[in-house]
Amino acid sequence: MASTVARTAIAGVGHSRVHRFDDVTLGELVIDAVTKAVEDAGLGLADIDGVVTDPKQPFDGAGVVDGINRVSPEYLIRALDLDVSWYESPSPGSTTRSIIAGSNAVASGTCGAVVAFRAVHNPKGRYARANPSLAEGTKQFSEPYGVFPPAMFGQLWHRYMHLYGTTREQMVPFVVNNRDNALLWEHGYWSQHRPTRLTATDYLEARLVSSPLGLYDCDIPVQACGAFVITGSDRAKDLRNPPAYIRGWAVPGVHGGWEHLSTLDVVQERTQRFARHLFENAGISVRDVDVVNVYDGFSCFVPIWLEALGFCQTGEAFDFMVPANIGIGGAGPPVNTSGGSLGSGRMHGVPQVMESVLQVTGRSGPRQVAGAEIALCTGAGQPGVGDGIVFSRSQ
Amino acid sequence: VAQQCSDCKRFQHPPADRCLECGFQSLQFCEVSGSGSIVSFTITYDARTPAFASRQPYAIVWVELDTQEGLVLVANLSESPVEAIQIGMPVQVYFERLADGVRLPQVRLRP
Repeated sequence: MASTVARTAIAGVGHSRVHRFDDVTLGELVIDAVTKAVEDAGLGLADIDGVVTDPKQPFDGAGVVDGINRVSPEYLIRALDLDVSWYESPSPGSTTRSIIAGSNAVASGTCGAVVAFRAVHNPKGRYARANPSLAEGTKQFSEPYGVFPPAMFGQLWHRYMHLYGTTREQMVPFVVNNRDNALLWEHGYWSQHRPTRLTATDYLEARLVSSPLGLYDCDIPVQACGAFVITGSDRAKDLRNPPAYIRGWAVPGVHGGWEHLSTLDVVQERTQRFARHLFENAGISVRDVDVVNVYDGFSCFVPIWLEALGFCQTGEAFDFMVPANIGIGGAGPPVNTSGGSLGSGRMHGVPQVMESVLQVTGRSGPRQVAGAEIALCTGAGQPGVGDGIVFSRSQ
Repeated sequence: VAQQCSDCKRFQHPPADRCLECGFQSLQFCEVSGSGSIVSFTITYDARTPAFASRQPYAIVWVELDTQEGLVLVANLSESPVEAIQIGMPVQVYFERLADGVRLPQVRLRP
């Protein structure tokens, strides 16, 4: 891509209320978030001619009903009677992939204003995406052994610890800083429902889920929706709020290994290749980034992202992940200024993307990084799976 | 057994329809010793499905077979106490018989 002028921009954002469990349908939350995003852009529903979301949910099972516990583009188009010329459900269920698809639709001239959203439901009880007695494809080599998220990520982190001689205790500065950021994020579970700081003791003494991952290494399942309006850059300049220009993006390739069997070396190589493409496509270098919001559905993704993206050397992320670097006033640049997924809840990239948009448009309030020109975000999806987008203040 | 490329002789697991190294489409299953070592592991305390709830905490390991660097399989290490497991320990593959006639490759510590 390597375009020097961004052709598209995020013109508006909207977020529904966030609950662990909610007594309204997911469809209502989507309509709320989308309506707010369109209003934030200073547009009307009649201006929206494209819709993109992946309705996939992070659980399997019977009783998945469109509008109730999943929301497709078709549902939204009918519910709001939108006159669209394009809609799509890209896989995987990430916020970034929908924005990339929407940006392409606008850049190609297919659409004038696209709504991209990510809506996540949290069913009552516990959930998993696996049925070991019916494992298909390459999952037959993992699910019969009880490998479900986050077990494979526990293996990833143990390998990392072994290679680089790091410990669980070294995650403390990051998770504490991250929760502090999250308490400043108005669309987060923790800020809305349990506004307390996370202490080192809370973190280290919480029960283990899949070692070395403990409870606070995992994002908390919630239900909510985040929505974004994408327009052409020239149109966005004339709208209500300053645009966040979409400078470039990249989707990781599938070099080596399988998703369930991605050993650390495979993950690192995939993510390094992805990072090279992302910087090339955006026409920037790592030194240009003022804010970075990486997908942290599980904490151990953060060091892997930061190393592969070049914010620090391989194996040295825990030396870097201290408040002097990654805090909101830090020189690092600041990392996950909205508290990421660990601080917001399981929203699959919404807090990473939305906060990046708000930062480069100077709308992050108490989290604002002074002079933020360029924000880089990834998510959702772990390193090697998640996409990345670079936003900028200037076209 | 593990899948081996007839051309470049590289082993791969899980099996695929072509060699992921050289692209050659003639592959065969060849005997391997089943001897390897633990490259990483996790102990799951919070099983996500009822089938594993009775087994928790249970260990899942990545095992690199001695046959070839990077030839990694997933298995449980159920005969050893979870506290004792460490990266680098030598293991040997055996086959666990499941109730429905399936034989599942598993590993145990090698003396």
